[in-house]
Amino acid sequence: MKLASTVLLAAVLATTGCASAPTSPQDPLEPMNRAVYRFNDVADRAVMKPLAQGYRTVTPQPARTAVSNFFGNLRDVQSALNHVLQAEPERALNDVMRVAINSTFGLFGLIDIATPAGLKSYKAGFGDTLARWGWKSSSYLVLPLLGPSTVRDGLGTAVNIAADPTGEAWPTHTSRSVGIGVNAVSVRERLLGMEKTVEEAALDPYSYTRDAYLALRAQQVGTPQLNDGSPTDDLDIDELVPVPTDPATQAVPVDASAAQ
Amino acid sequence: MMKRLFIALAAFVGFSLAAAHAESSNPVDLVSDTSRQVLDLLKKDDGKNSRQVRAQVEALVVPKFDFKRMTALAVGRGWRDATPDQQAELSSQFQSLLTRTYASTMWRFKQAQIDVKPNATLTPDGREATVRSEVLLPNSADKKPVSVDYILYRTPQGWRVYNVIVEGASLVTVYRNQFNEEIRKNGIDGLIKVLRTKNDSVPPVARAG
Repeated sequence: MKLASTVLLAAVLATTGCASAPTSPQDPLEPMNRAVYRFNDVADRAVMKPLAQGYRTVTPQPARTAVSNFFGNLRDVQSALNHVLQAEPERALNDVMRVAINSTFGLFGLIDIATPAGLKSYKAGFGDTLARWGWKSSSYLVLPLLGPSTVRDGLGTAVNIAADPTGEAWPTHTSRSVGIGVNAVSVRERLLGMEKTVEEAALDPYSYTRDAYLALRAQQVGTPQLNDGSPTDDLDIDELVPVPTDPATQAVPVDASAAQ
Repeated sequence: MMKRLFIALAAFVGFSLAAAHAESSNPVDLVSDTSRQVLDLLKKDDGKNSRQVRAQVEALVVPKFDFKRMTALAVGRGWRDATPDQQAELSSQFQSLLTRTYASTMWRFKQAQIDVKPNATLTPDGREATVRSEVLLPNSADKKPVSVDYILYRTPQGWRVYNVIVEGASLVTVYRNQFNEEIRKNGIDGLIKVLRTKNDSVPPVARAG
């Protein structure tokens, strides 16, 4: 698993040089990304989506929440470690407390009682740690099977998997692999319906997903892109669409006379 | 990560927050009143009258948005090159696209809890306002509320929403690259055609998820 993902990532990064004709400055790897996107789409329709639908059919919501909490608890261990690496002691302590409470009173993480108790869930990964130390913006990268990412976060994902502190918690190698599979299905189940939203909303599902993802991620690592028409946007919306002015309306207070 | 993205896309539900009385003197009231009205309407859905409830929600929400301004924002600089007729047609097609996406998404998230923050951020000239809100989806695994911000501006008819920002991602400007790509290849008319084809390919009222 470790070796496979590292090799895969290396292969993906190695193709950087072959990319051509990008249309977005943040997506120099677009031709390759589109190919991987198409592959993921096919794989999803054939395997992951049916599995997730089956999982939803045979399990009640509380069971699914428990499964998702269990894996969330493992991610909190990873998050604690990354907050240490980010020199964020308060958040690291927060994560440690979450794991301590959820692993014991929360029955091995099946119940998330730390969140209602006021301990926030941050779920930092190694990609966030890289961003913390200055790698703020990174090119878009679609990972095989895992989906939207960036070069930075792809590297982060590889490190997360290779140096997973919870890897040793599994009694056997096989059980860990099963765990990874169950987690994947659980994550996909929560995303059921997304492909329909994207299909309905997007002219080009690939670039819609990309642009939404990059904006979200930029916000998370603290470099929001302000293409929002606000004064800090490089586009002045008032210049494109003049604000209508109507002196009459401004002068007359609504209903002052009408109420009589 | 994908879940956050999903929620962001899904939070077109946030559109529902943005309407209200045209006369609303302050943007926070506009957002919070409308969100309450929309949630109340959604509660009346008993599975048989879905289509009707959806029409009512749309009738409540649509007039509170400025779709022309939204479209201009989505198109960006190319907007200047469009003739008034092209601008009108673009706005109308973009409105259909957004409304339909909103309608089908909203249905999946009608259990959401919405918390509108009481303090709006106004620009120095007082013409624009940002109203912040948090949306908590039921069964969201990490119980993390999603931030949904509305950008409004003052018109003679009252405040109007022209952008919705979910977790830092603008649901309007996410279209800018797609639109510009199409304009670069096939011009404004090419973009109108693509939008029209897209809108015609789906029934006007998409089925609930």
